[in-house]
Amino acid sequence: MGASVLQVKNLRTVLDLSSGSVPVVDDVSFDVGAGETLGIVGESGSGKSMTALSIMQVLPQPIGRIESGEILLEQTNLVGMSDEEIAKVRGREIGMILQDPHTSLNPVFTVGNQVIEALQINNPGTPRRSLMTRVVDLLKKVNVADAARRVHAYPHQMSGGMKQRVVGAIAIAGAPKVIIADEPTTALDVTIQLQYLQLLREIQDETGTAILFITHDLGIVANLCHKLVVMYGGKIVESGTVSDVFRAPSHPYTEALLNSVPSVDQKVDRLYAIEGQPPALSADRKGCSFAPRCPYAQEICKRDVPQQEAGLSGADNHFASCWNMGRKT
Amino acid sequence: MLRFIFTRLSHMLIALFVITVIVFSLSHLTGSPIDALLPDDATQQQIDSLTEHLGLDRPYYVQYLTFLQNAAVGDFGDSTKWKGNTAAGVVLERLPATLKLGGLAVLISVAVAIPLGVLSAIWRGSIFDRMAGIIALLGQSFPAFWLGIILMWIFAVTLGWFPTSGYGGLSYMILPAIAMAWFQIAALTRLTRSAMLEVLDTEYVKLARVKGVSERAVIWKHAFRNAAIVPVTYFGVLAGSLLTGSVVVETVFAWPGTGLLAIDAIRGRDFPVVQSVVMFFAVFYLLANFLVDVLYAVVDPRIRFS
Amino acid sequence: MKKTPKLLGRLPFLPIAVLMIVLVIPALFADLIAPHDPFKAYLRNRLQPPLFFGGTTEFILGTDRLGRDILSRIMHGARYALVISLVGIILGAIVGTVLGLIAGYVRGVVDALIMRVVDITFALPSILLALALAAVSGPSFQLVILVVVFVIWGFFARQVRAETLILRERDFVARARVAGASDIRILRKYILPNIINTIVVLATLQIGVVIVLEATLSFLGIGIPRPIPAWGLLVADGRQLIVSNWWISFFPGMAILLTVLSVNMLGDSLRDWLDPKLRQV
Repeated sequence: MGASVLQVKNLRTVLDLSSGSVPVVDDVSFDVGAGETLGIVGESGSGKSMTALSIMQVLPQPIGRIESGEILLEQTNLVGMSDEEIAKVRGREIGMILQDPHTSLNPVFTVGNQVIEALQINNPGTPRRSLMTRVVDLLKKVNVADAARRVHAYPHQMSGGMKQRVVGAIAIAGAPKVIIADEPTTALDVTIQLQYLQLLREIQDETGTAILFITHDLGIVANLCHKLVVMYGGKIVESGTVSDVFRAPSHPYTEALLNSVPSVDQKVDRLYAIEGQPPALSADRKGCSFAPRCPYAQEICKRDVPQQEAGLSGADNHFASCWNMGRKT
Repeated sequence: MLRFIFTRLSHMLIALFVITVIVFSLSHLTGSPIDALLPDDATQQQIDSLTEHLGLDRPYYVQYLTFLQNAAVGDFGDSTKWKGNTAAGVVLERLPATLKLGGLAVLISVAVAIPLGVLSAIWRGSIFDRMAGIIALLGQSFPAFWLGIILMWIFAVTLGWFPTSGYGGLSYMILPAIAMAWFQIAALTRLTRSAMLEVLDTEYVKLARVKGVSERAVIWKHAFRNAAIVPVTYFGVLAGSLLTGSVVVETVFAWPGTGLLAIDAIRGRDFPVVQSVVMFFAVFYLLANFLVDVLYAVVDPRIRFS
Repeated sequence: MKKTPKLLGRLPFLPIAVLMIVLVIPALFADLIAPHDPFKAYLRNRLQPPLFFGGTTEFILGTDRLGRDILSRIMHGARYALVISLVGIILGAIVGTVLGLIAGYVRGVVDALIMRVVDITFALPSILLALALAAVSGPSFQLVILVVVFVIWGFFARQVRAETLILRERDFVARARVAGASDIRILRKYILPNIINTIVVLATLQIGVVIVLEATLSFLGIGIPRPIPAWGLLVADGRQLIVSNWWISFFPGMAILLTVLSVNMLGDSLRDWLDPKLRQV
């Protein structure tokens, strides 16, 4: 693992709603090195996708904005860059794979066209013809069968798995240092999911790119990631290496998530059997946002926000934010 | 694609069939066309001979088939007002003037409405957007005939920039074309704006952004290309409104096209000419809508290949 | 229902005020408030300009070619705009709703047939129909109403059908059916009450269209027959004189514009309040 390629420091992103400024990413920090995969885990609404959109600076307009913090790409702060500068970072430095392949490709252009566009952005002035061979290479690299013919296909003529491979090809077209994958396998069939994760791993082995893998599925994290951060209500509640966190989950939410992961030999009727709903967006919040659903919640949890402390594994890069750490029975 | 065209073509033929039935019934069921064709003091003999000549003594379905046969070759009888001309001939002669004016009106509406709609979607909630909204509301509330008169009063009479009315070159066409385009600008702006808003919210626009496409290309290439499908479908409606508009605006500005012809023919009780105008308009309208359907398929590959 | 006080707060004041002043009050009380007889020609006062443009308080909006008071004529004309649009829309709404209910409830061939006819009525530009009808029968009230109904029923039919298709699958309809309610009763008691909001909003949104349509037909001489002072006819009166006497066309047209503008604004806010999904229509 090399030095940090991407470092996020105290990131705070808000949505300006009619009810006021609501933080959706609150004091989030993490870093990921070359060849390393960081999993960001949480339910929908936990702020994990908003973190990704903040890094890319494609927050919903006009309501979303980064309020404070730094996003360092090899020492360069992306926060506060002009639109032109950040556009040069997108695709070239950081590639992204979106959740639903059925909606993330433009229906009126052929897939070849959409991959070429990504190549053109990274190689301005190169004639289309010479790029075409590279498109086929890229599609082969992401295991699109019959790539030479498929370049002329429109998205609606392909399966979801194929489309997501094309999106992957677009993401790696600029040979980015970081790839952000926002739940890339959620919309795919289980067998296709595994193939796709394998593909991501191969790409990483070959290019040494850092991957930010956003998911709600701890099973995938165990499989793919080196480190993880667990998000809840816009905050990181626990972070550490995958082995440390899985061995000694220190936050009740992580614990609950782990309990809800089906193991291979155990049939589970329902995933995520965590009682209650994730917190609604609101401007004024008090205490730990997990408190309403937490089986260990006490008075202090509802009153004060817990500070980050060393996690139960004892490792020096394992942290969690909970009033009850080590006091649970 | 061929099947798609075939289905659309058959829809068009069904509509055309219904329209011919309506036009035919109008000329026969609402009173004998004899009354319209002959003077009030016509003798019984005149009536009888005309009845026989027109085949009105035969059963309705035979008459309808004859009508259809003639209509197919554009024969709607002779004009009673413009003596010595066929009704279709009179209409054809006036058609270029209407097409010229209508073409300019379409050009104006598209040139104004598309940028207005796209920009107000991009700058949603801005002052520009609100202004566009007011323009759209005004556009939908102005009666075209009155707008024409007011334009004439301000720009032709008071300011003297354009001729008041009549047939001629571009300077004669501008005011009527604006009067005709006004309502379309409103409708098309609203349509473009909402289509654009919808598309800007999609995942593929997000993907285009995150892959590094410049904001301009995101809007005009990725988003507009998709949003354009909606305004394109509106061109069918546009064609119909322009025919309606031509009747109104040509009357106001004394522009000698088919619209004015239709009004003159009604005043002169020249039923064959009215009939041919209606049929011409209907065919034009259906054809325009058919072309729009085909165009729609060209723009959207999902339709082309399904 | 707690909706009433909310409704008062939500409905825009200005459009309603304008609508009352320009359309409703004159339509109801033209005989009482109009300063002159709308048909009486004051030949000595022909082509009087309006007040502030060299005219007098006697003829505030001026007089026409025959010396008739334009204000009084506009006030009397309001009656026809109101009556025709109301009658036309109510008839159109009834025809469209009944056919839409049948199409959505019965489905199958009947549905396909009715929807095909809707498509065709949309395919026939309204003015054409009016032209053809007027050529045969001459201008008349019945003709205007017929054209109005023809133009608007399809909007109602389409929307009502779409909502009926959804409603008929709902639990409370199934329950009523099991309980032995007849089709007519289901339609009247269970489906119609759930689409009445849609119908009201659609009707409001159509008023503007209908008023412009009626005025246009009258202007072209294929709508309301003379000498009735319909607004479209009043504008037509001044068309030839716009070069010298602008007020004859200007004020009646202004009445149309203000009415339609207010109705459209009212319709927009009514839609946002009662039935936001119609924003696409």
